Amino acid sequence: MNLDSAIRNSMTRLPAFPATIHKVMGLINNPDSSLTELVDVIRLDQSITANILRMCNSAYFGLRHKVDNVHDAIMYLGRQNIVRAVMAAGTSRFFKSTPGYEAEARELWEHAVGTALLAQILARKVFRREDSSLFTAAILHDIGKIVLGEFVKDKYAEIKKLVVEQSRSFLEAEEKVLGMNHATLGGVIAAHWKFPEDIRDAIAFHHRPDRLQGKTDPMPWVVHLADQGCLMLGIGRGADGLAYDGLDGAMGKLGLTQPDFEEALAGLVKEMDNAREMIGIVHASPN
Amino acid sequence: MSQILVKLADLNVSNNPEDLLVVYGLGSTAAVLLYDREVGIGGIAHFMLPSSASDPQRAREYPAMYADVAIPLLVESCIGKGACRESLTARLAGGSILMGQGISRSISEGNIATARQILEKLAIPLTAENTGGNHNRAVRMEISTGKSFVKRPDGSWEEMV
Repeated sequence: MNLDSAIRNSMTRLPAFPATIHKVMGLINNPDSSLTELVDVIRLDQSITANILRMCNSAYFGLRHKVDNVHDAIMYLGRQNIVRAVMAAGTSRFFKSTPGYEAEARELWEHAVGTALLAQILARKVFRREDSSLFTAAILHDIGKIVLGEFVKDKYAEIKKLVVEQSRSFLEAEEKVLGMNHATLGGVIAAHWKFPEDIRDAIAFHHRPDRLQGKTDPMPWVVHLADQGCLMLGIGRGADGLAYDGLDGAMGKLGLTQPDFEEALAGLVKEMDNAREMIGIVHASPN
Repeated sequence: MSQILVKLADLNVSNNPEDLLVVYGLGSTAAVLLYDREVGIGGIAHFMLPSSASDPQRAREYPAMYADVAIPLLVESCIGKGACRESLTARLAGGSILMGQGISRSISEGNIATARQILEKLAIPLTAENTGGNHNRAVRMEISTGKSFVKRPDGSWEEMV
């Protein structure tokens, strides 16, 4: 089996993406959907229900009374927090340790959540609102690493040599040595999981949104900037470090200035402090 | 030896010889490590932005977030524990830069430049530096000896001298 087939074969062994999340996203994005519909969908998935209740009762949300049912959890959390809670509860299961990037599962997960939170902070600045599709794309942007990790591990010396001796980015080095990079593979996984095109593109092009020709969707640029911000702050550190191209035009594309970006980074620290308990709870759970 | 993690936008000072101060996840952020050999007091500040001028309110909530506030505060905290300003020495690590014409350059270089300027202004000698590049770092300081180490990209620890 050649390397490309081996990578694709490994991808098909990933667990299926929880159908509940797709249904919840559909309902959240539909202004005509009712709370009852949302409750009915969520409570069919036991592991997401358990995680939502656990998160809802954590200090992160600071509720005074114990919440013991999905209906009350949704009432307390609100629509945007439901997206965060369902995504976090439903996707943490995929974040296992990735040997090739020398990243622990918890760090990858922290990087995923940090990127999603920073993407939302940037979205509030750029679009004056949060965006559930953006949150989804951002939390899953490195999903390709989960599959590619074992292949990166086998060829790590070769990849690192290109980074150190030829000043190639880790992404280019992956591409050269493995024939595929983790972002492109992430896009393939997102397609396999039946995500819509905007989310697939944002994942596949999160390092190089400039290569997404003929499209004007700002989402890949926001994910790019959020990812770079988290790498800069050391949120989720791996062997790839900061060996990626930070695109010069990213802020201009989104109408942001350097002080805007710095303010967003500063704002992320508090959001991460608040979310840490949530991250720990979800990741520690067996589901 | 008990390990004390210095979080992002935070600082810690210790006079307990059993303590080991550690910073993980230095990206474009930077750490200043201070030590007074006479009394065995040391501290680390882990800051992420050069200047608090743009957001003084946040600097009150997270003083160690900004180099210009974090370093003077670290000095005062060391003195508060019993250190003498004249015997403090400093080390500096961090300030990695993303590749390309990236967005991080002004922040990474700003963190390092501001740290150097402030240490010079406070007349605290900078005895070792490990900055730049495009890899993550970790640093640690043994309070008993003041010995400080930086983690190399290959995972081994190198003393900062």
